[in-house]
Amino acid sequence: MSFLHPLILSAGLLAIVIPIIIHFLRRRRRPIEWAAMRFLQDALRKRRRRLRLEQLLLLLTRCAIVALLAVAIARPTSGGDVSSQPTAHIIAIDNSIASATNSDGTADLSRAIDAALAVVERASRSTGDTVAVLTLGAPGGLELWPPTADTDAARRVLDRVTPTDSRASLDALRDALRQRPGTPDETGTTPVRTVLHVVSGWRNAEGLGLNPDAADRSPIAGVDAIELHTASGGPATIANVGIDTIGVTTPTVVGSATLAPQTRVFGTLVRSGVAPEQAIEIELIARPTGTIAGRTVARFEPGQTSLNWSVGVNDAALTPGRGGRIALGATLKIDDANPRDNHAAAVLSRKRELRAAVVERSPVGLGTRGSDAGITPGTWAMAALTPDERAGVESFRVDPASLGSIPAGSIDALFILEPARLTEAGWARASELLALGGLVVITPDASTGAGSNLADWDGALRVLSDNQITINRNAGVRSEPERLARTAPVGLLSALQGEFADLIASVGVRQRVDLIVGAGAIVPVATEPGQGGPGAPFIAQTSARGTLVVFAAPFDVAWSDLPARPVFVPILQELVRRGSGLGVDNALTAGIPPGTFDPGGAIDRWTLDASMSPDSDQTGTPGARAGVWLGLSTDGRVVRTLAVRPDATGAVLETPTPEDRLAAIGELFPGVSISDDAPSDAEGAQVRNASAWGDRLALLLLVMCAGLAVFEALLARVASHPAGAAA
Amino acid sequence: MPDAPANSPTTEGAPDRTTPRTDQPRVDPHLYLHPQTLARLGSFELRAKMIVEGVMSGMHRSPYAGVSVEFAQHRPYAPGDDIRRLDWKVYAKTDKLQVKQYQQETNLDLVVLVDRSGSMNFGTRLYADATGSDRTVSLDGRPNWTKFDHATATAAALGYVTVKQGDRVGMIVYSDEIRGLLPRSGRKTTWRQIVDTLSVQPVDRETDFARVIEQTLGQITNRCLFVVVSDFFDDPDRIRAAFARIKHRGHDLIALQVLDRAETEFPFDDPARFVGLEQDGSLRLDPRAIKQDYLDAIGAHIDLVRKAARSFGFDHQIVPTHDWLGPPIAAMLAKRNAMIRRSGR
Repeated sequence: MSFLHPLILSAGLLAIVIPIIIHFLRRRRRPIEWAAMRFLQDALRKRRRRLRLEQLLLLLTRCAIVALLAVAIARPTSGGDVSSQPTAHIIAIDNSIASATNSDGTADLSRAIDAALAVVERASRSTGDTVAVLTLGAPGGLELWPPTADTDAARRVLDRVTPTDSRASLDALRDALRQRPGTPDETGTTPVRTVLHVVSGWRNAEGLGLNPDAADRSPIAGVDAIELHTASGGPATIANVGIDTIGVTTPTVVGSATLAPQTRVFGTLVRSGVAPEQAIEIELIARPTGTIAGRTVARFEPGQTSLNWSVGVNDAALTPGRGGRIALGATLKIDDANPRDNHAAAVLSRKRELRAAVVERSPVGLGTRGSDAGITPGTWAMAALTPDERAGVESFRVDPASLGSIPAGSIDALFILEPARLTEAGWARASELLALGGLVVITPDASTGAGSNLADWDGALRVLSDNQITINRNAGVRSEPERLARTAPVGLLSALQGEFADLIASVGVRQRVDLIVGAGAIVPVATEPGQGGPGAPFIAQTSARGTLVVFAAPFDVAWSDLPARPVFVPILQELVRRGSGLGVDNALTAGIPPGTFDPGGAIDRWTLDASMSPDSDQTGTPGARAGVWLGLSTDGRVVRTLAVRPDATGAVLETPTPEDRLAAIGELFPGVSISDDAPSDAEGAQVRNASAWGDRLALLLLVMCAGLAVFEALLARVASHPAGAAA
Repeated sequence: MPDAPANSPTTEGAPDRTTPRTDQPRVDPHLYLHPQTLARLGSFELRAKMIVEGVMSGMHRSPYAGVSVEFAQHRPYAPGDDIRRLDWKVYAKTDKLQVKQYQQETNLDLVVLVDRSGSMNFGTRLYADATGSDRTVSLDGRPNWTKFDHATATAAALGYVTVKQGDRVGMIVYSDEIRGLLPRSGRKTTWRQIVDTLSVQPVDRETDFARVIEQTLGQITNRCLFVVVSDFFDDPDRIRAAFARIKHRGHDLIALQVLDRAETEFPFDDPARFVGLEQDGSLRLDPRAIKQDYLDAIGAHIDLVRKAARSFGFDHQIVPTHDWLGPPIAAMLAKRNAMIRRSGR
């Protein structure tokens, strides 16, 4: 058993000496000279035993009253609640996106902070206790670490906690506990009991609403006990709707006012949450550098969870001749439980024109290559990329040996038409372009044939595609005539609706290499299924980093009709426009680890683009806050733009049962005792009450005190031997 | 009832009556012998129950049939008798020679034994109230009228009465042994001497009544009337044995038991530490817890003393310090004299 107020207990037990002192002080009365001592002695001799018993009983009763009162006031508790050992209180406060849930005028996070302050208050009253504060909103933060006795610092930290737009993550807690100093015996310090206080609104069916894709879900050690604090109010089920994903199918806006009066941007929108009974309006605003360049309204009909949208970007509103970015903001016009997932942003890259490098040796002096003398695959490609000056694409030829000297940031697309001739520096440049979000298109060499040189570049292809696209070298070059399949376009070619299926089916294929694609790759175009089985990939695409497209045949009519077909131009145009989102990433959800959005290490610091974000609070990190983030290099250049959307799945409200959340926490902290308190009162920083067991014991002790007090009064009266009472 | 009498003696600042006072001014004896007392006792006679032996003629009958004014009886003449004592009228009538015998009235020797043991130094009555004077404290600074003061007054009163009726009075002061002696005298100023002697006596030591009686009987040869003025806080068996010794030697005795009201009523409520006056330790107790037992004990002791005295034909009288001296002594004298007359002595 332990006590909430051990100091009071100590003082109370010391106070037992008071009745003892009074007892002896009373004996030190003013002495009375007395002559008839013999008769007093005779009388005392007769009563001595009884008198001693009475006085002893009175003294013991009075001491017992003081002791019981001290124990009752000190509030005994069961051993698991508060320990007499110095305790490190680790407060893990859930400030994930779900903490912004506001069901009755008070957000969960506000209640959570009050509950956390109550824990700090409790720690401040116990000598030797320390406090640490961690936030659970991904990626998680060590706000106050290691545990410290400075409770004022803890209070200041808690007052500054704001909600993130991400789900909860225990990574920071796991890492912090792993890094704690060794066992006290090793360091020679006093053993410290570690209590983890998880303060959350518990709005997720799995408890804390951890990311199910989190890499590390291993059990966490280093905690002696866990206390779960509930910081939610309002009804258990509250309606909340959010924007789950906003996709932009054309990440680059190409053109200027002189070229086209307006450019349309296309995208998709997916909604999360409970379907409302009424439609929701969506506003899309294109806002480059503060001006509105386009607006539209879409409606989610009742029951509808996804829709396609398009917005026209008025190029006149764009500064002529300048590149830059265009931000799109989608806002759900609804007043629901959680406002943080009602807005999502996307970023488009705006360019006056795209630059596509065609990697091929110069055709001059090389004799005939391909079936038509003088028309090389690169010529076909450049003709399709730049059919006229309004295409918005500048294409130029680059020798394979010189590719390594071209800065990846200076081009938007790379067409590698002679991969066997690419140097290691060239492949490195291609990889860099992919990392920056550019487009890399690879076709086999037109000279690929007997004595195939597929092995020369198959390995590089594997690396670029993360093993999603490889070549079946055993198959070599297939020379059976085939036709391309009539299929609806997908991937980068998904915008080519209408007659695309008929046009693509008209393409004949005489030769091709056999591509092998993994589960992470898309096949926008395949050959018709034959007697040997399903159709073979003709165009394969991956989007792991940037966009990689691999053709099974070079742009050579000796291999296929494709370069000569009308569909060739739109295919290449779509590939370039949709595949070259240079430096723009719209695929990020809040909560990603910080290291994942700067693989190249080129970013010096991140800043929230307030002009492109509706939220004026610029604090936070790309990992935790939704919005448009600009990655700056050491010289201040914007080298990367991230549109981070809120993790709306984390804001979906599903109240778990106490058993569910105990089980969920228990899986993460096996073997650790867990106590789950009643919902905390967010109106005031109430100290957590002692256990019901302790309450009952304290009440029992008080009743015993009262009984003893009555007994003492009666006994004192008897012992006073009032006049007339029987001796 | 206060938990302790407001004027109960304590050890704090109490004047020291345990050493003889030689440097104090002489006490006014009239503080002890109040005119009221004299007036009350003046009409009484102190008679002896036994046949006293004395020298001078007085009101007390003598066991010796010698020349006296009162004829007692005849006896046959024996050769050698004084022929002046022959009753010739009886011879004329009877032709027998008879000698007259007479009751000789002689003087009473009163010996007052005053107890000056430590227990007699207790008192709760205010000095001014007891003396009826303006003095609030005694010469030695005591604010209270002790049992010894009352014994002094009693001894003075008895001495006065005795001398006034022509008898002699002496005094023995004792504690554990005889501590002082005033020879018997019939002078009118004897009562003053009694007061003077007692006023300088230290009141201390324990009591050994039996031993004192042995010492007294060794010094006194003729029959006397002993008046013991004491609280008789001694072993009852030893007191009884002393009475027996006195009776055996043919003396008379009046036991005047001087007691303070606090001793007979025990008016204490709060726990206190009682300190004995005769080196008998101290006790911390709750008075209310043992009050009844104490009263029973002291009552039983008084009864024992009374019964012991009366078993030998002696008188016993309680003399409360809070009461005027006259009435109890007057009552005792009246009762005693009536009994003497009835017995024909």
